[in-house]
Amino acid sequence: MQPADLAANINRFQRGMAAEIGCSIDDFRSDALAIVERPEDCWEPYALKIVTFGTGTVISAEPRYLEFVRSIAIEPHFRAFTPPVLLAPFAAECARRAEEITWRGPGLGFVPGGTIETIPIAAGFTLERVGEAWRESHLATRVFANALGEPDDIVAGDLWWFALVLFGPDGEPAAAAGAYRDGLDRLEIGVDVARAHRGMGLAPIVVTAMAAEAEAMGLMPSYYCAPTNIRSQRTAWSCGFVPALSHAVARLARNTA
Amino acid sequence: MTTPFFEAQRRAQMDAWAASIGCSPDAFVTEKLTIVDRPQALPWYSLLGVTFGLGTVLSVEPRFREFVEAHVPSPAYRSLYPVLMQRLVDDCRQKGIQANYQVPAVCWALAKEPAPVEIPPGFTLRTVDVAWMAEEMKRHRWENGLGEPNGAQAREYRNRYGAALLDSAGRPAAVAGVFETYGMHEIGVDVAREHRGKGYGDLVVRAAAREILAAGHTPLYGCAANNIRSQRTALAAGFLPSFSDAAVSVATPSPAPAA
Repeated sequence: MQPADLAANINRFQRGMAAEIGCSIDDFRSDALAIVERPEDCWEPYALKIVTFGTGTVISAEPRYLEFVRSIAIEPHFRAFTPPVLLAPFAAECARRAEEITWRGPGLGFVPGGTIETIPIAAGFTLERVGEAWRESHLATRVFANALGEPDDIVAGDLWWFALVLFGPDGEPAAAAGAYRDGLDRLEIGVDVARAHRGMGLAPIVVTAMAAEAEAMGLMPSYYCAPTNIRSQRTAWSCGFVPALSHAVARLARNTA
Repeated sequence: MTTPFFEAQRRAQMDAWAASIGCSPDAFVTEKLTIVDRPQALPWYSLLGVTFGLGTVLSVEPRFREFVEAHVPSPAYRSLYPVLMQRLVDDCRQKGIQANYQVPAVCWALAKEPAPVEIPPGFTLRTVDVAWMAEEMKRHRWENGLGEPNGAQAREYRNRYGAALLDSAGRPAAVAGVFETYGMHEIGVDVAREHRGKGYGDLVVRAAAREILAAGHTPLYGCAANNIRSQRTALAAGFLPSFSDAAVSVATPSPAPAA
């Protein structure tokens, strides 16, 4: 691991995220809470988003919720991630306004800790780039739900870009890494391995290949998973990704279908 | 790919959980959901969910079992998410019961035996005992390392020993406290603000982990999903993600069941 690279990647992520959710980069580097208005042109359809890179906490909210969010006492600032403090009251407030939202507790975000080395493809396997048509034909199986998105996830469908699929000797897809647009200069990687091929080390092959693809496109690879997805966290680490941020999002139900 | 050392540590953590909450250790290595009644000896939660990445185990206070069984989401690993746990909290509220949802945490197991630590010049590393921890707790400087007096974590009763890095004047610069958690020895760590960014956090964590192994116990490192710096400390100290747990706790424990 190269700490200088990690610091540069976190810096780049903070700059991008600050522009996207409407805060200052210094808000992430403080040890305080910042509440900001979600920019009108923000690419992500959230009602409320909480972000930390480990020090300051930023809450970005749609303008009509700002007064409510500011009325809540959040002390210390990182308690914003604790459901009874903000997310549960926010959901109750939305219900009072006859708006249905869905929310999930903090997720994990990773950036490369240094240069990510690609892993040679196992003998007999082939790696291919696939597009929308392949996604459409495999979406309903949910075998590659992280790489392709869930069939009913409108947001994932909008952000999905392409995938790298590792085909086994039998010609069947064994593992896939999906590429999603992530802000202005990042490419998010979602990965799945078909059940029959798990435990063979295929996930790092497609993840590192996709990271190289992102670098070639001038984008920074990003990787997200839930804290409950233990295997995914270990995949991230084994590929050279390091925890960089945590976020929680509340979306209007129409955006999550 | 993980090491045999890590797999042994993880297995020991599964065994400790299973013995505490009354399930089979194998429940963690299936891809199924297992629901068990909460043992009477664990009154501080009403619903607890644990996953090591495959099976999910829910330990439920009996009076909530019917509700939980009726609202298990699909796929079952989402049982640790608000779709079940916040739903139980909301249902409790409607019945006049105050409950809180603690979102999934990231919990770690050692990936390899920690190497001896190198102590920076001018500092000393000291193994501290319960008496030292109790006295230092009163300073309110080590919320993770030692806990807070009368805090919800009940650290006064769970603290066992720890590793403290002391500066040349004998003041603690970093503290890793070791405390009992479901049969494991959990490490909590804090670094004094003026000493942050120098690697002292992972130094005392590694020292504490060595103490735990030497005593024949299973180390555990846990942190909130939004505590990014703590996650990097865990990685730097030689830990890897092992399991995640989430819970719903009810403010007023239910009355003891009739004999």
